[in-house]
Amino acid sequence: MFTFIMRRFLQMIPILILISILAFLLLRLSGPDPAEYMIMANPRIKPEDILREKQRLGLVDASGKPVPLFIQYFYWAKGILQGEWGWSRIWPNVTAFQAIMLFLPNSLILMGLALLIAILVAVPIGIYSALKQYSAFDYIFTTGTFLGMSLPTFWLALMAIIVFHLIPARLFGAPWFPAGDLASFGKPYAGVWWDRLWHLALPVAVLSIYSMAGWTRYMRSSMLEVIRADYVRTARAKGVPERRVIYKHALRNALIPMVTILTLSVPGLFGGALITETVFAYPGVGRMLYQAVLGKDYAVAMADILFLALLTVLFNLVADVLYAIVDPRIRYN
Amino acid sequence: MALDTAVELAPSFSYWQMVWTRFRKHKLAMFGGSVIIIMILLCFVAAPIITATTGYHYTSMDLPNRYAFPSGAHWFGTDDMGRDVLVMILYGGQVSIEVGLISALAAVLIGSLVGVVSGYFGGWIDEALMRFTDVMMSLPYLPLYLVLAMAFGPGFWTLIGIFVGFGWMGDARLVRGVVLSLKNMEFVEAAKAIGASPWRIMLKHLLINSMAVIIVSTTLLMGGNIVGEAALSFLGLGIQPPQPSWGNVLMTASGYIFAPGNGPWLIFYPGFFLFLTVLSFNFMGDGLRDALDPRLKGYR
Repeated sequence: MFTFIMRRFLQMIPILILISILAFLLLRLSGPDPAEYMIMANPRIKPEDILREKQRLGLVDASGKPVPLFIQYFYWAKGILQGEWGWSRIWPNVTAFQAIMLFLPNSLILMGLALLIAILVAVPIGIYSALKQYSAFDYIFTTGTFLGMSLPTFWLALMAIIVFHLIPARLFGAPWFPAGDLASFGKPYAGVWWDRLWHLALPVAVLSIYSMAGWTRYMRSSMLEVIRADYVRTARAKGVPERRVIYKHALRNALIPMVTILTLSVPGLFGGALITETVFAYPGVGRMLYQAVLGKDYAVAMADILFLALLTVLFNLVADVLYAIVDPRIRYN
Repeated sequence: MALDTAVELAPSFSYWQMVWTRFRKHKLAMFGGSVIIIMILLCFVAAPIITATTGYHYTSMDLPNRYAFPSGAHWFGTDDMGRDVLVMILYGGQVSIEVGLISALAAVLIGSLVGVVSGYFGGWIDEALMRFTDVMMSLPYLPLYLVLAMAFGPGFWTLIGIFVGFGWMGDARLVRGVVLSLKNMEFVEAAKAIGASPWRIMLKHLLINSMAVIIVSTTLLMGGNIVGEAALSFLGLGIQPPQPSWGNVLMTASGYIFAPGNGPWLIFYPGFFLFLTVLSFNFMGDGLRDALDPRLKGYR
């Protein structure tokens, strides 16, 4: 088991190196020249100063000749490994790394709650749909999952604001739920836990719907596969009570693929969270990236991409390891 | 008893006739297919006709008539510049559908070629292509789309480039899987024996037999890319106004969601058209999967 984890860990390295090369090329080939920044900041800057800054950044060598791209990459990668992620342009006195750390906790709360609710809804519905295959319940919820997967997140978010904020505000004078932000402003209860939860309600609901729909389908098909298996028939033939067959023999095995699917979908949640956070003006990493992109803050944008890529690769590893743990049939080689 | 009684021959059907029979039975897929055809007719045929008869166009502003309530003259009301919302949606649909169809077709073309080459040749070619596919798949999509749109300047062809560049991996893996299961079968061996070139085997035999997977993934990708276009345009990094698209009509509407004159229909209608179209592509993909290859049924 330990050698399996170590080997999978080592396999991560070439993938991460490739991703970092891609990120670097994007940054260098599409981003503005640092000299342009300096001219933008100070139009009367002297050419010697620009040259000195370029030398300091490793773009040109001592004689003023441009450094080859792949050598620039090594300088850049060295900086990343040493924790030099660059300064943010739009958040003053904050490095790209600090910017991520600043907004990450808010995102984790939002995504954690959405994940939890999605699982709590999807798993029971998926199981019940499979047990009552082709029943009215099954048809309604299977069609419902299609609706859930086809709903564009940003439209759902806007409609939620209209239905739960704007319309009650106009009809009854007070909205049922706030239209966004982290907490109330200038109220005695601002920032209290239930005030935070109240602000989280709509974003969490919107974010959880897409995952919920997908997971219900996976849970259903995984359960359907298992209850047709020979060992389930054997258990029934031995006279094991139906409840025990379902919950002890079938369900435990049906949940195994769900572990992988849930783990693998965590990095993807950041994408959905980006739109949800933006519409609800919720200060998380997704909205941070969006603001960085609009403000042409390349350091923060690239740091966030690298962070998310690392997360994706890491969760792939976690999924493999968890799968090996929960399913003893998997051999580690 | 005479042995020469006429043998009742079962009527013979071609593969595509059987596919059509199965597809027709799938009610949701038929619904999806009809909606897609109606949507295309509305956007590409009805929109110019409406412009010709009523004079409404996405550039014709009518400032005294801003935020008009839906009525006989403006079925879906008017927006912040007095433009007819229905006309905005229909012209917006043209761009959204074009982006979805073109990018999905191109992405699947590339993905299928990568998949068939990888699966057929195996060895280091397979290893290299699949590792590259893995890397592409572990990139965070939406954040990267944003950065690329920022880098190359938002627009129609940037969107297509992004969706093709990051859309081919799923199909490549599926086609590779099918090819791996086919390439040791007798018909491939027979083709080799009579001297068919590798390219002929890959294109004429293996790709043709992967058509079920290819068609289904194209359909699902079209729906996915239409949402993708809308999402990027909604964030202001896709199609730019005044050219409308479902995403940027929603973006404009969301900008004055709290304005006193605003009506919810400005948000509801464009999103509903988008939702209906994507839902239809998903239904159709599901129906096509069942119709093209009944063995795949239930494996979603």
